[in-house]
Amino acid sequence: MQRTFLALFALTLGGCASLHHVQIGEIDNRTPLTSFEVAVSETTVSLDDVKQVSSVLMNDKSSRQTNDALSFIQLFQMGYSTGTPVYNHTYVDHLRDKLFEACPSGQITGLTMIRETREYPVIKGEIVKIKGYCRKKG
Amino acid sequence: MKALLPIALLLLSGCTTLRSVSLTSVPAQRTQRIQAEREKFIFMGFNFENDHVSDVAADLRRQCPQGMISGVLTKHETVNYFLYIFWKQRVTSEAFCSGKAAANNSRPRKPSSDDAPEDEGDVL
Repeated sequence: MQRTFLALFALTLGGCASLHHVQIGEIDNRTPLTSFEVAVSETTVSLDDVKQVSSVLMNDKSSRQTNDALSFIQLFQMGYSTGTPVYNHTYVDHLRDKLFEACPSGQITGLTMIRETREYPVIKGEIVKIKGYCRKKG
Repeated sequence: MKALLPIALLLLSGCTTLRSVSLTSVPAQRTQRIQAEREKFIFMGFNFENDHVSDVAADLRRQCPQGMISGVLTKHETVNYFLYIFWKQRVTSEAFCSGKAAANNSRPRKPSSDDAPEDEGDVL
């Protein structure tokens, strides 16, 4: 029993990767290129998961109160979303700077943009990953 | 034995969902069409990485050495099989190769050729 629980626990710690969006840009393959990868992410909490956990761990009254409080917060998160809502919308703002850090020559091509979520129980990691190619200066 | 056939058909057929589509600028010179595809089977939703996606761009590069790859149409689809026990994630990319590689690989094209672009030569 303990072994099964441990195996399941280890499986959940791995975190499932959910793919939302893929975009591949133009590739200038006329000169030698080196590949690079940059990523930004924001950790967030799934309120639906918290509700489920609270219903198991708390007594009825506390669970109901928690449920009501979280439902109130969710009123501000209505509408279409990709992945779990985050509480900081600026986490992707420095993505372009990271690209220039990875490719100092600035001659960037073949960008593959991947939007994915790393899903753990309750905690979710919203990730924007960019893989691309850099041309050397000159 | 006959009873197994509908069950097998049910298990093997899947519903496809288009998750995302993107297209880059389409070039005027569309002589060589290239395509790359990557699929990944997922059991019960357990998927721990999406690294297969980055192979698509590398595959396009291999098909167009020393050329310019543009007009890249990328589709990301999910195929869900019976009761979501198996999923298939598919990323397909179609593009046009121009430049040195396209000049080297170009061949006389018959009007009836299936793989030739229909509107080749149009100036955008």
